[in-house]
Amino acid sequence: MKKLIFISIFSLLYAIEHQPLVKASAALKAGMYKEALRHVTDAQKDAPTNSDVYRMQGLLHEAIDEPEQALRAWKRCLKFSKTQEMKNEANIHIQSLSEGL
Amino acid sequence: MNKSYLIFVFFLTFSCWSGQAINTTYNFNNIQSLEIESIEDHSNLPSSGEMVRSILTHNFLKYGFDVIETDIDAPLIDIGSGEQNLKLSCIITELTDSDVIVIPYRYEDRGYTKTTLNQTSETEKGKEDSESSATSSTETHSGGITQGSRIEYTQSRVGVILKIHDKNSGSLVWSNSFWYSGLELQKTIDICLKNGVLQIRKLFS
Repeated sequence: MKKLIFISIFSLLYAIEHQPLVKASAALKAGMYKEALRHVTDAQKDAPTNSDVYRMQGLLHEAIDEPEQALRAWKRCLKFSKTQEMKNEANIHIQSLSEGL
Repeated sequence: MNKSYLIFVFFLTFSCWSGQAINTTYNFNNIQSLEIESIEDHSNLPSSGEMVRSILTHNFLKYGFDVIETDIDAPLIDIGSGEQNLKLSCIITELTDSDVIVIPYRYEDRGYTKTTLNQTSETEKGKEDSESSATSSTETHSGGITQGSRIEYTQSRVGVILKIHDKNSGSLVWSNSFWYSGLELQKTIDICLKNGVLQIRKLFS
């Protein structure tokens, strides 16, 4: 029984440790945007069609003044977004960033 | 056929984005100045009106206008040598720096394969014969998918309605609404208002 509990806790900790989105979220909350971006890029490998991840990436690139990368991220967000609200948000960012380039 | 389709899509996209309302009979080439009226605070943030107005004048200056602030409560944007004067009013419709974004995610454990190779050899001194043996075992873990977790982060959202009136007649000559999202409130306000200023600049060019 003790072994089972130990294995469960270890598995849970291992899983959290190896989830890039969790790390990205933590880094973002701490204001470490570049660090967060690194983990978001890792997260994309696991979820290449998740529009939420591209949205987060777009916001992070904008926060650190990387408009070209932000534009690319928002275009991908638009491509994979499933809700009209997110499509609107992506379109507004694409329009704004395109004018600035 | 393809070209016509692309032109149609372009205009459709542009018309959807550009939600401005404009008095097409008004002569925007005969303008002297644009006065920015005081802006009421949003209920979420005291002094937000003054902050938005400061960022607005900053953007007018940044994008090539002369800004005159002899009266701090009514900054003037110098437009040209015309005769008409305009008033710009701004209503903050949305101002939040704690809009919670939730990303549901799934953790994919891709499993692993562990191969153990045991190799032993025995060589006796003085003898050429030697014995060796090797065994290998493979253990495959299939992995699994855990779903149902989520992460959260907060973002800022800013929304404004900008309106331009003719100062003498009081008629509304232009209006539009803008909103933007970002990670930092001040930067989000800045970009939101930048989009407004760039559109207003097109009226006078």
